[in-house]
Amino acid sequence: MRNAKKLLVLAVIFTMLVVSFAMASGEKQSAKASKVLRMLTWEGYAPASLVEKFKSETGLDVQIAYIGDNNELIAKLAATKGQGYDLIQPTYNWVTIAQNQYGVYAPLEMDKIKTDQIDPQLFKTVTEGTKINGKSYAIPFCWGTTAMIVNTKYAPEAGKTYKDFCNPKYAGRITYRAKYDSFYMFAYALGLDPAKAVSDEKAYRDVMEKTLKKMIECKKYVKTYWGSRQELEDLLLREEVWVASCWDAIAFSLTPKHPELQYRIPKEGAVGWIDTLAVSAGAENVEGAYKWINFIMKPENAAVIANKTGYSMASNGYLKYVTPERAKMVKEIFTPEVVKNIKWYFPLPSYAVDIEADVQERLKAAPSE
Amino acid sequence: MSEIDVKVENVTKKFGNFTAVNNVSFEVPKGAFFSILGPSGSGKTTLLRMISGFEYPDSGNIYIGGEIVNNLPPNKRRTNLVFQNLALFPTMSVAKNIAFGLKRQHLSKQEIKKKVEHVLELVDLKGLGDRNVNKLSGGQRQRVALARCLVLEPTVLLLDEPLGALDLKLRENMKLVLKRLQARVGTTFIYVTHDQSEALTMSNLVAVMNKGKIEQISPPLELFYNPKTYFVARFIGDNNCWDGKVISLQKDTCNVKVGNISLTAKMGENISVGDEVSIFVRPEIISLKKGRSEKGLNGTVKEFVFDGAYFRIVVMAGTGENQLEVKVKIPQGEKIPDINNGSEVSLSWPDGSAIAFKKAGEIEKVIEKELEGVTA
Amino acid sequence: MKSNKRILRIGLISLLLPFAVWIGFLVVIPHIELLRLSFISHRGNNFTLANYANFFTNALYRNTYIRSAVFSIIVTFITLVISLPMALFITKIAGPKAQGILMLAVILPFWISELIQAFAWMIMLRETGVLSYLLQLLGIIHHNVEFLYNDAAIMVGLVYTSMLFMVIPLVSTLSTMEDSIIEAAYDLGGNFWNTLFEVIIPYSAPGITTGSIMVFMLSLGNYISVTLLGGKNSLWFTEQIYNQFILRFNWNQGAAFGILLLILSSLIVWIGIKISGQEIEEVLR
Repeated sequence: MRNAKKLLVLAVIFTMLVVSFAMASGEKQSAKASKVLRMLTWEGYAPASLVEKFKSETGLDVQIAYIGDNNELIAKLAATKGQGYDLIQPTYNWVTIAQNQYGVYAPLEMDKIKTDQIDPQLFKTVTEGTKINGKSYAIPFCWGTTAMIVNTKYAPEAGKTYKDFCNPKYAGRITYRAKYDSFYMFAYALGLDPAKAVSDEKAYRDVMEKTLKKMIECKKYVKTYWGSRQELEDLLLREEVWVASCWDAIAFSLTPKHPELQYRIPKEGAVGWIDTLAVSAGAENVEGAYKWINFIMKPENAAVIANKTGYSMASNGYLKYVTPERAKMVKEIFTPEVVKNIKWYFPLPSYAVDIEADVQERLKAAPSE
Repeated sequence: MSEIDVKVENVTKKFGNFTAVNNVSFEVPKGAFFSILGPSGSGKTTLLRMISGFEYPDSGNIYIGGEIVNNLPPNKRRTNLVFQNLALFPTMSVAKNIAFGLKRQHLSKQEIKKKVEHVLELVDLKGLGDRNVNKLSGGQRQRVALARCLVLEPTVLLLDEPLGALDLKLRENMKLVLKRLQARVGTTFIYVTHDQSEALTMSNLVAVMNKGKIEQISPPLELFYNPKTYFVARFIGDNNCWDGKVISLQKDTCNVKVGNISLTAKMGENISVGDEVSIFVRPEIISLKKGRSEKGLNGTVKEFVFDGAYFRIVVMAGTGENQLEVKVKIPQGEKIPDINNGSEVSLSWPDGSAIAFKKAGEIEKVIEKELEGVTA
Repeated sequence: MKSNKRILRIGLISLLLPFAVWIGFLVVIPHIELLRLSFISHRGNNFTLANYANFFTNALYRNTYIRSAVFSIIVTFITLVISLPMALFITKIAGPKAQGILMLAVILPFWISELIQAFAWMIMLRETGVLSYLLQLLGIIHHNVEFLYNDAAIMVGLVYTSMLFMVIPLVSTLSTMEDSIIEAAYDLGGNFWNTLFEVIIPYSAPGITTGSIMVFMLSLGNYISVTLLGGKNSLWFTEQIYNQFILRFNWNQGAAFGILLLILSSLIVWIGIKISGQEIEEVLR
């Protein structure tokens, strides 16, 4: 009997050891939190050089986790209610849905932000668009567009309208994503306005159904729906496709070496996105998050990211600090008329998320004649 | 002249630089129980695999039933092989194992069933047809392996040391089963073994193989009492072997000085004066008398053992340093002189039963190794 | 005596505790949670069967489900047909040195991630890829042909990524088979085919079943190869689950799909074992 008791005690001690180890490692992390800024962001948004600079200015270490898309971002945050991260960089139109459904962000304290560093037009769009109960949850960080890229060797005429995605002349040489951006392009080409329709479930369903019908009709001309940047670049550089949907940043990196690949903004207008800066509801280092926001929006710092990623920044006057070629290219493509005509992504109510997922699934499942 | 079932003609097989079978020729008459006996590495298994078709000869010809089969694959030959490990199909029942070969002959189901039942009866496994082969005893498995081949009525049945895995008692029993079975079905057996008692017990003819060559082909008794080579004399049975130097030659005998004893022996091969030779005398043929005698070889008894079948006596003959150790075997039942350890005895053997061969050191090593294995 | 037994029991329990914790936390609890989620309505918190009803009423989900299962069965079969000769070659024909090299060649691709493997296949199969180039060099085709972005490409990718899991059980079964058994079949008059079907395949049945189960499960649960190699028409059930969790944030529907996938794979494995006449215990061994 005595031996039995001993064994039992040993088993209990063992279990306690395991548990206390787990807890100890958790405590260590939180103790360190005030010296560390933990970010959930996109590749290229926090380059090593800026992280170093930030550390020397503030003494804060930066830990970075990367995300591949906004769905993943929300899935990650929803699981922990934002805990584990201080600063998040969601895309503008994804902020409210995540906030409404999961409450993963904290309202921004505007007095802590140097707003004069930020482009006033974009600031207004984003802070207004992410307002819930009178409080804004995000400020703009950078923006970019999705439009068309064409290989002028084979399709010199293409790119004036999104209708070229359904042009038999380029059959089998077309690629775009089976995602919302392509649906918007097709919708605008059909003369529909999803941004307007989105506030009404029935109207939005109607727009998306009409768009889906057209896209299924055009499926026979598509080579494949591209999924990753690498895949798109391979398709373009190997000249397996001539007409594609494309992010401006990809085009900016390809065109200098391959002048036949040209970024073109059709008459329907480029589709535009804005990535933002937001603070996590579970943030442990709130002060650090604001420090980063003010640091990264300085024009000379923002320019580093612009040069690296090819995106346009929401920082005032950053173009003074980018390379002259890039400044020239940006000014040529984004003329005031083009910028005015950008169809910004719009926040999605939850029914719209379902409608979009539904049409995307049906597009993939549909046979292509 | 009886009919010849298998004829091997100048067959050679090499593996790289190693010559496994070296220019071997022999014939196996129809209905014979033919054994190939040799130490491991002597090439006997390679020879068997060439007859069954798993190896092809580099040169020479193999005839089965009068036809050249050199490059015919095993499934096209009228031979069947009982493998050393039996190689029963473990996923099949006894009957299915036996029917496997019959199915290849496109026989009707009834015919197959009839043949299977008949052969099961032949090998004493009646009623075990549905049993899984893994649930049989060693002896039963042995008989399934035999039945599986015999049912196909091959011209020649080849057996590759099939008794090796059995325990001693079962092995003794299976020897008799095999011999009776062969007598009953009349199929030609070629039996490969390194165990001389198996070969001598069962065979009509034994071919002794060493280093890829056949040393001698004879009926067992002749092999025993009339070896043709040093190797055979040394390899078969527990022979007396005395080394000495040839002093003089007669017509077909020679005088040999062994230590300080002079012995006369029949010449097993060409021998000249001065050659180092070994003299072989079977322990069974030596007669032993109590007390000294003028004519015989005198000595004292060193060991006296009864092993159930034989009295084994070791006698130290001669005098001084060069004493000769003589093994004598007297079958149980024969009259034994009243002797003990230390008794003085005289030994003698009939003329012509001592045979001399030139010494061959290399062979010695092979045999030492083999004999060690046997006694161990 | 009695207390001795008790000591043994307590000792055994304390030894098994870490294992039980492992199984409990990483296997049982997540599945129970998945099951619970699947019976709760999305954006509500009440019990519902709607998540399962959605599956049965929506032809898109049903078809994808069946398509994935049928494809996985075909992939399993193709993998078996390719792996069996490989395993036979490795165990029965290759020498000991070649055996090691061949096994290494089978295992080597698995030192890199499935993602890279899929990219490698993309380079091979694409319109301007290696295969197209080689076939033109041989004069079989006369202009670039697209081999990527179709169901065949998915099959190629899945067979490739799961081959190891078929070859290894087959090799381990066949290596216990003595060569003389095959020789005996030949000796008794058998040819290649009846030796294969009556002797070798029955012998390797446990390996075939184990390998098939693994390959089938891996294929059915695959996401990377399927989405990268498949074209505009490819749809896999795992993609539907991904869509529910990630695109729609509908964890409840996704959980229901996950449970349905679990049921499907268990059912088909069970049928497979029944058909091959094996016992589950035997296969697990």
